[in-house]
Amino acid sequence: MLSVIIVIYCILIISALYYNFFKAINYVRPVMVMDRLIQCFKKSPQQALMKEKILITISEHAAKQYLDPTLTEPATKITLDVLLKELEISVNTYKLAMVDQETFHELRRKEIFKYAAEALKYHKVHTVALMAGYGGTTGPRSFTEMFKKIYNITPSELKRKHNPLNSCSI
Amino acid sequence: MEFFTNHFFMVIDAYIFELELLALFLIFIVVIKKNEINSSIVAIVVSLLVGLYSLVIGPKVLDWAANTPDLKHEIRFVFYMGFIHADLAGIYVIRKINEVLKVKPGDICNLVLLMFVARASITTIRYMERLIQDTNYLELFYKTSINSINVTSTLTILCLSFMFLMKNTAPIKANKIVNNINNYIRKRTFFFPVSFLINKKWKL
Repeated sequence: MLSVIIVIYCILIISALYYNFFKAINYVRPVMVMDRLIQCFKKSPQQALMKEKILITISEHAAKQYLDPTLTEPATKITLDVLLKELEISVNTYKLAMVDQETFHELRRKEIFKYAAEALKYHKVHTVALMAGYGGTTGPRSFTEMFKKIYNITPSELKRKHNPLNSCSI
Repeated sequence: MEFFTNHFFMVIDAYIFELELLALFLIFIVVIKKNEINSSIVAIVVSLLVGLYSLVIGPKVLDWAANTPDLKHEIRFVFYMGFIHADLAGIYVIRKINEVLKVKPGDICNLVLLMFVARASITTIRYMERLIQDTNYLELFYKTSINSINVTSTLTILCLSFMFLMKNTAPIKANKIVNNINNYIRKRTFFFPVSFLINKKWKL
């Protein structure tokens, strides 16, 4: 038991040593990674609450995009500025709360495509693409490509799975 | 194999001790006479002090271990951890001094820092071996690598201190150093209760 504690202590000391070394020689990347790790341990309950709040707001905005099926133009996606204004927080607060998370755009995309998979049960592919904010001439194609990247299946294939009668030729 | 005996390492340590003292003396002459300092001088002085510490403390701990075999594990902990902590302190002090003086680390400073990291890593590996396995496979590797790092660093530092004595570049003047240190202390002690009492604005 004592040797395990000593081993853990040694690992901590060595990490502190490398952290100081990288900081001293101005090698930014490892220092950033280590800072992120330290921030994860240091995170206060307020920051954890803020993180949940941010994730819920992004999810709500993504869900709102799918409310109107009679869209003719692509739905507007939430931007970082809008989110910050809505929650009345600064960029630094956002960064501190979401230090262990993906970037804002990745989170937004994930949420949008989560609802897109659901919406495909009830709407056509090009309508869902518009709801997801993919418009214009290349919109549906980009939507399909991104959808395939995330779910490893095209939207039309998923739609056929949901409703097998669509694929029937009779 | 027989070439690397304990006597051989002891002789090397004795020479290193004298050479390090000489290098420290030369560096102090450079600092006092020329009134100048840079990141390389800071790194060299810290590495010499850490080296002297390990050369003084190391044999004493070994003597203590020879006299009290019952406290084998405790003495091992003190011996290896002392070196690792000294190296960590060395890196930390160099980084902090460079921050206070607002100096960018040069190549010599980076080399000294690398030496600290290498030494601490080797010491940790050796200690892990002794702690977990209680074997002596890495004894030769540890002794030769640590001694070679010490010898090469001491000789290089001695050459560098001669070079600094002959020809010295001057990135920072002494007044600037004093001002920077004063600013740093002022910033750090601003929230200290005494500074509230002294501060005339508060009228306490």
